[in-house]
Parts: sequence; C-alpha cells; structure tokens
Amino acid sequence: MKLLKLSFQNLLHKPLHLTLSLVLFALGAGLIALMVTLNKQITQKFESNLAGIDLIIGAKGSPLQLVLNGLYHLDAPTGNISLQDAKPFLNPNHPLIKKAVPLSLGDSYRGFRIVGTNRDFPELYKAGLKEGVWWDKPMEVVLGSIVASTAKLKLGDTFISSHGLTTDDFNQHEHAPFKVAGILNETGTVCDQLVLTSAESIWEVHEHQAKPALVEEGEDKQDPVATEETHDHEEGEAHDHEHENQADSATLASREITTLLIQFKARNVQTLNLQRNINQNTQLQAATPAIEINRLFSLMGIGFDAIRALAWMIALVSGLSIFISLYNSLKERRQELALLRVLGATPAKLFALIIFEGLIISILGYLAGILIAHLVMHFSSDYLFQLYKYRFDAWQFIREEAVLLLGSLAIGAAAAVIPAIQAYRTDIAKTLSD
Amino acid sequence: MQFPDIHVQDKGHCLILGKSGTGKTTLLHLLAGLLPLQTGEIKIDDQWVKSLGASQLDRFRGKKIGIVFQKSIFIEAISVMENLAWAQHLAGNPVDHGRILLLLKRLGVEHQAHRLPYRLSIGEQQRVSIARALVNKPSVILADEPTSALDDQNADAVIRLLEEQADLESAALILVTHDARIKSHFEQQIILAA
Repeated sequence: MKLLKLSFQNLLHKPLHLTLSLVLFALGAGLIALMVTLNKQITQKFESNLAGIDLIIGAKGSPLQLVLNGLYHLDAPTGNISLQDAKPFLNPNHPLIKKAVPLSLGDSYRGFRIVGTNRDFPELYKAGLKEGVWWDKPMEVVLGSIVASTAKLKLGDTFISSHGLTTDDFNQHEHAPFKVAGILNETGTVCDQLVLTSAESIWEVHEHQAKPALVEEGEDKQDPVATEETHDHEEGEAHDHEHENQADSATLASREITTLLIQFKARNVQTLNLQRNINQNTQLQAATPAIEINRLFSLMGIGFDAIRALAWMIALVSGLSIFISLYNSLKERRQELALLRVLGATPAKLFALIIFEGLIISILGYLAGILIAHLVMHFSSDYLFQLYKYRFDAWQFIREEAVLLLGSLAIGAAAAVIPAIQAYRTDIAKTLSD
Repeated sequence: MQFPDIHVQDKGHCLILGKSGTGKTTLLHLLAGLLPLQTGEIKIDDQWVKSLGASQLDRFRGKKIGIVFQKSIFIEAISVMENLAWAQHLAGNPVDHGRILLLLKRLGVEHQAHRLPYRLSIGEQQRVSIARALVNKPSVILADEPTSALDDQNADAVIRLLEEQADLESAALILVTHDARIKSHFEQQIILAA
C-alpha cells in the first residue's frame, strides 16, 4: 500500500506529464466506451422492436425504408397501398399468416406519430393499458408512455394532429381533435413513442380535409369517403353510421393503409415464395425486417468500426505517451531509485513501483473515459432522441466496459514494463558514482 | 584493487583518504554492500556480509548502514519527513515520527520537515541526509566526500556534526574523502595509494 501511495505521489509530482497521459487515455477509453455502448443500445432497441414480425408489406420502394418506417417509425413511408390489395393478407383464414396488423400513417402530434391500427398492434409489443381504456370510437387515442409524459397529456385531454410526420404548425387538422382514452405501460420499444388509434380516425381526419394541392411524401389519405372495416375488428359499426351509409358507394380501392405487419404461422419455403410472389407479381413490396436490419447494421458497422479503430489508436498512442513519460521520468529518477535500493528496497519493489505508476494512469484514465462517455450520452440524449427516436439509457453499463478495463490495464502495464525492468536492473554503485 | 585491513570500533572514527582513482568510492560501495566482494571479508556488527542473500543484504544495509552521499539524493515527490519515514520503512523498521522529528531538531532542520527536499538549501539538504543516515540507529555511518563542495568553515562544521551525531547514536563513522583539510580531525587514518 505504501508503495502504491508513493507511485501516486511520484505521478502527482509531475502534474503536466500526468495530465497529458490521463487526457489521452481518457479520450481513447471514452471513445471506445461510447462506441460500444451506443452500438449495443441501438442494436438492442432495433432487435426488441422486431416484435416477432416476419414480413412487412407496403408500397414499392426501398425495402430498408419500408422496414424503417413500418417497424421503427424512423423513415418516411414508401407510399400507401390500397386496402383492396391488402385484403387477402388480412383474411383470418390465410393458410400461412398467423397475424396481420395494418398500419395507417401520415399524421403526428408534436413529432410523435399517430398510427391508425387495431389492438393487435400494442399486443405485438406486449403493451398493456396503464390507465384508461382502449380506443373505441374514431378520434379516440391511446398514448405510448413517452408520448404521454413528454407531451404532458392526461386522460380526457384533446389535441390536434399535424399533417405529416414532423412538427409543423402550419399544417394542422384543426377540425378534428383527438381525445385521449388511454395511456400504455412503458415497454421500452417504439410503441412508447406512438399515438395509437383506429384506422378510421386517420381516414376521418383526412376526409374532412380538402384535397391538398401538394402530395406530401405519398402518405396523404385524402381519398373520398369509403368504409372497410375488415382490418379493424375493434371498430364498433354502431359508432360510424355516417360511414356505413356511404359504404355502399365506396370501393375498397379508395381506402388506403401504409403497411401491413405480418407474423407467419411458421417460416418455410411457402412463406419465402409468398414474399417473392408479392415482390414480382403485385404492386406491393414485401420485406423481411431481420434481413433489412442486418443490412443496415453492416452499413452502420463500417462507420462504427472506423471510429472504434480510431479510438484504439488513441488508446495505443496514450499507452505510448505513458511509456515515454515513465521512461523520461526514470532517467531523471535514476539516482532516486538507487537511493531506494541503498535504503533497503529490493529490485522487485522498484519494479512494482513503476508498474503501479503505469496502472494508476490507466485506471484513472479508464474511469475518466467511462465517465466522459456516459456524460456525453447523458447530455446528448435529446439529440440522440431526435436522431434515432429512442431514449438511450445513459447510465446503463455493459459487459464490454469491463473488458475495456482489462484492455486499459494491459496497456498501462505494457507501457510500464520496460521502464520497470530498467528500474529493476538499477546498478546502484554505478548510478551513485556517476 | 587491493585495500588494507580496516577495523573500526563502535563510536570509532576512521578517515579514508585518497586521491581520485585510488578506489575510494569502490571501497565505500564494498563496505555498503553495494558491490560484491571478490576476495576478502567484511564484518559489520558481528555479521559477515558475504553470507547474506541479495534481499537480506538489502534489508541489512537499510538497518545497519547509514550513508551520506557527496550530493544529497532524495525521493523528490515527498516531504523531508516522508523521506525519513521511507528510510525506516524500507529498512523494515516501524515508522517513528517522534524519532524523525528528534533527529531533524538535533540537526536544526525541524522547521523544514514538511517541505519538499529540493526546496531546501544545499546545507539543509546535507543535514537532512545526515538525519536520514541516522534514522535507523545504524552500526556504521559511511560518508562519501561530505565536505568537497564546502568552504573551510563549513567543512569543519559538517565533520564536527557527523562525529557528534555518530557518537550520540553509538555508531562507527567511516569517512571517505580526498579533502586533506579534514585530516586533523581523525586519529584513525587510512591513506589509499594508486
């Protein structure tokens, strides 16, 4: 213990050397920790949001975009599909499909997307009601937990949605206020960030709107009145007399949804054929979320790998700086080390003294780095939220950080080992007679 | 190199005088156990130095031999007090702050106890070195050219201080120097010739 204290005192005696070594080390360790933590949390979030979905069906376009929009509510929709095209998949007796959940997107409230769907949707994310009841009538909504807390909405509150998926005050549906019927439990999934309602609500909002001149991102649902309720078993027909009256004159084709989330009964050749069939022979597009997300990760992974390589390089440079500063200080301290020997210290003690100095720098540098990484996460959480639409847990520590500690200790010890061997070999008589 | 037989009693004072190149420092290092003997024997406090293992010798040196170097050497990063405490600790003795302060007081540097050693004047540093050589109640005090950088008056004072302190601790004093000015102090003198 005394030796450890002396190592520390020796380091403190050269505050500039110490600072330089610490800053470099903290930077390297911090960057690595930040990368691993972000990567881990993003991967976790993406995977937990797969929600057992085997296939996503939507309009033609980029399959990745279809998945990002339909499952993660990140990207813009590829477009809408007509309910008529979607109808075969919504058949409860479909031989391959266990569950098909329709989503109608296009509106938002303060940046949170409003999703027109049925009650199978919250079930996918195992989201139950924390308070209130499920939506029943059109224009009733159930809020994800983050929406409720961020927008400070309570049961019975009403709000007006914005057209489009971003906050835009000039484009509000002022005629049709939504009413909060229920609030969901926190699930840690994208479901927390959504406003859920019946598909009818979305249609209703847009039916009252005059056809806008501008078609926005293909998600407009400004079609004339039509009714198709196959996709929403929860919709009470009694609540929607007006629509029912018009149902006769309407066609399925005039109602649209954005995507269909599909769970298969089992994955097999037939389901693969189904996907290929959809992509080749219909106006729809079908994508497998797991495959698209892996593709995305391998794309992002290149960036992560580059930054991680950079971080390891900084860590190695900081190891080098520890080596140089120990090596230099050892030259100045040769007589001091000889003195320690004269006073009774064994060579092993001198070895340990120098190794401790390397380890102290690496441990302190590591701790500072970890602290910096998590502080960065903490203070950039709003920015990250906007970027990824997920709340990152800034103070979640992961196993990789323990591995990083071992790596740091290895670098510290490796940097100190040559100076420590020199200290071990101190020739007392020669040093003192110089 | 050949050296004559030297025998110093407890409380005895011995001057080893020689010009440079006569092996003064080598002799001092041999006596301190810093260099291995090729032939001959050294016995300190009834202990044959040769019979000690490497780490035993390190500890024996710490306990039994106090060394005052020509140039003062300290652990730079810690205070005067801590430097002396480390001397006690490395010799395998318990740290005794009372004794450290007593010695510093006797040598007139008590007020500098908590300063870093290199903040002290050269003279003060030498006094702290002497205090450190005495801190473990050694049997022998070896002093290497303690006066070479001093004027006549100060050289005289340092020699007197060393003799006085060695006597107070009942230690033998062996002084190695080329400084002929201090010849008159010592009854036992050994002159090395090249």
